[in-house]
Order: sequence, then C-alpha cells, then structure tokens
Amino acid sequence: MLLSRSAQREGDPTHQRTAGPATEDLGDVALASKGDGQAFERLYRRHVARIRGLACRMAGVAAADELTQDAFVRAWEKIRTFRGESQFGTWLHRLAVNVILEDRRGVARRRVVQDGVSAGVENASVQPVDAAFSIDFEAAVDRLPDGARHVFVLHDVEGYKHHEIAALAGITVGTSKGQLHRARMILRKHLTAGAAGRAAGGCLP
Amino acid sequence: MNGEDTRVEGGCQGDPWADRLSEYVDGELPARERLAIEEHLAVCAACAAVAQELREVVARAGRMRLDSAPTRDLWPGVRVRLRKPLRLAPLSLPRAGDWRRAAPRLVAAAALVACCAAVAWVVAGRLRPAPAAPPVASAPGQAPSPAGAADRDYETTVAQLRRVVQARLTSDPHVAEVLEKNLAALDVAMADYRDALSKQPGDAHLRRRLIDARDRKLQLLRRAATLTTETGN
Repeated sequence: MLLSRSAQREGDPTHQRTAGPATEDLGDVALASKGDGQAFERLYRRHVARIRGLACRMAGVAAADELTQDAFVRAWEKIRTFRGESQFGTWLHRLAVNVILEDRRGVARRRVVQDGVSAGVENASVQPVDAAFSIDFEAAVDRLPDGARHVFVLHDVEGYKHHEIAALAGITVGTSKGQLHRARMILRKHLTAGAAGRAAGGCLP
Repeated sequence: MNGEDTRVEGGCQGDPWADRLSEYVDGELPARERLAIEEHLAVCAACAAVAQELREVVARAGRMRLDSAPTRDLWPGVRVRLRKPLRLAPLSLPRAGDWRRAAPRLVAAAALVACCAAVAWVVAGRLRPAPAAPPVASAPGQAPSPAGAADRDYETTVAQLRRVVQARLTSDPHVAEVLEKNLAALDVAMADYRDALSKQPGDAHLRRRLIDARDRKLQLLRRAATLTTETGN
C-alpha cells in the first residue's frame, strides 16, 4: 500500500486519486495568477478537503481550519511562482506542509517560553497513550509527539520520502527515519483497536 | 514526551537491529545489512513479530483517508485576506498660495479638530483587543458591528471628524478627493471584514484586520485634520 502511494506521488503526490482536477487547475491557475479571485476560489473548492485533511493529521482538528486558510492565503501570495513543473495540487500540498510546519514550530517555541522548560518542545499537550485503553489507531496518530507525528503523517500517510521530509522540516534524513520508527513503534500497539472505524479524537467525519 | 516506551518490547533488548526494523520494512537497508537482519529475524521471534506489526502499521496508514472537508465554509475567511494591501494615496499639503487664502477659516476650527482627534484616539484605544478577551463583540457569535457603546462612540467621532475636515478642505478639492477615495477604500475593506466575521465570529485574524482598518480610518482623518491645522498656523 505504501509503495502504491509512493508510486502515485512520483507523478503527483496527492491528487491522482481524485479524478480530473489537474487539467481544470491549469486554466484557473493562469487566471488566478493574474488576480482572478473567482478562479482562485475554484482552486480552493477543489483542494480544500485535501489540504484540511493534511492540516488535521499534522496539527490536530482544533488548528486545522485556520491552518487551511493560512495555506490558501499563502498560495494566493505565491501563485505566480508556480511554474507548472509539478501539478498544482502537488505544489499546493508542499506549500501547505511548509505553512503547517512553520506554525507548529512557532507553537512549540511559545510553549517553551510559557512553560519555561525545554522539555516542552515535544507535544506537551499529548496525553500518555496506554494501549490497555485500546484507543482508536487514528486517535493514537493524533496523540503522537509532534516530531514523530509529522514524519509519520508525511511518510506513511502522505507518501513523502525521507529526503523530502528532511528538506521540508529542516531535519536530517537520520532524524526523519528515527522519528518514523518511533511513531510506528507506538502505533503498533493500537493496531487492533478501532481498526474498522474511528472513535474519539479523529480528524475525519 | 508521552512517556511511552518506543523500543522493542518482549525480547531482543539491546539488539542492534531493533532500531532499524522500520528501514528494513521499507526496503531501505543496503543488501549486506538486509541479509544480516533477515538472518536475525529467522531466529528471533520477538523481532520478527515487531517487524510484522510495523508492516501492518504501514498498511493501516495507507488506508487512512486523506481528505477532510471542513464542516463550515472557510472561503469567506480566505477571500477577505486575498485583497491586495490597502495602499492609500498620500495626503499632501496644499500649495503655499492656497492655504494662505484659507487660513482664517482653518484657524477657527483648529481647536475642535484637536478635540475630536483626542476623542478618536481614546476610542481607538478602547477598540484594541484585550489580552485575553475578544475586543469588540461581547455576545458569543456576534460579529463586531455598530452596536456597542464603543462602536457608537467611534462612528460619532468619525462623523464629527469628517464634517470638520470636509469643511476645511473645500478650498482644496484635490486633497478632499484623495481623502474621500481613501476613506471609501477603508469602508469597503471594513465591510468585507464585517461580512466575513458574521460568518466566522471567532476568527481572530479577521478581527485584527477590522480593528486595524478602523484605526487606519481614524489615523487618516487625524492626518487630514493635522494637515488643515498646519495650514492654519
């Protein structure tokens, strides 16, 4: 499954599963680059669920809406830099990852300042995961420490490669691999719980 | 940290391969290391079980849904932030010959302008966000609108300032025109922000933008008042 997602990402990391938008995007990108807000709205409508899904997984449902809006505002500001070398959805997805990671770094910094402890850099709001309580797999993803969660979502859910994650997150490939392994080792304890559905804490309806 | 043990449990403590099982599962190990770890897995049931669980985690991740449509329309909050930065035309002083003719009227109204500007400053200060509470709307779900006492004070002050400034700028239609254009641009922006806020009352960014636009309107009027006061000196 991972291979198939990764294979999809070679051509288009995020949008081959959705039929059709790539062609439609081209015309709207050209119009939006000239300041056409209606064309940009069409782009927004086609991609908002995908970007919000990413924000949800990366930052949690509470921050997802605002980060989604931030990502589209950034896309509007940067749309003239889109060269068409990848599909618009791919470009937008990477841009959204950047916006989300920037925000998370800011949140982590504020948390350190507020807590006065450097140990708070990792997800301080995270609650201990006790396999005995059998929380849903997706809820367990939401509760991963920040670093492990970001790498897990980008690698195993979204299909990015370690070298891509390293570049996006400003970490080394070794750190990316270490965080991924850490995440998986936590999540393997939650494989049986809620595998068929999603209960508390999930991002998705 | 969540205090959870992320190392291999139930066997193989201290195993040099324990931390590399994910790389093995992902097929990222060089051939030599891969063969070595496979030899180990053949004799270590604990590590073999972990490797299998890691594969299942990867497969489970691959089944996670990617899309999550928002439960409310986020577009208004995006759209209102897409506008180009408001670039207000500079208000310039009237030419020397013009203000001399207008000076007597301007001097007469200078005190009133200063007074209005002071009131405007106080009102603007009151509109600024409090550290922990929404600055304008008091009831949940209520967007800032000319409803509260502070809003009424603001509108009254703006109206007074406008009357004073307009009366003085009759001698300089060019400045008056620039002023009106700037004020109109700010009014459009504020209407947009109010409209978006009515749909998303909790959006702190929109609220800041609205307050900023209000401040700019007052500053603009004060600047115009200052111009006319300067011409009267």
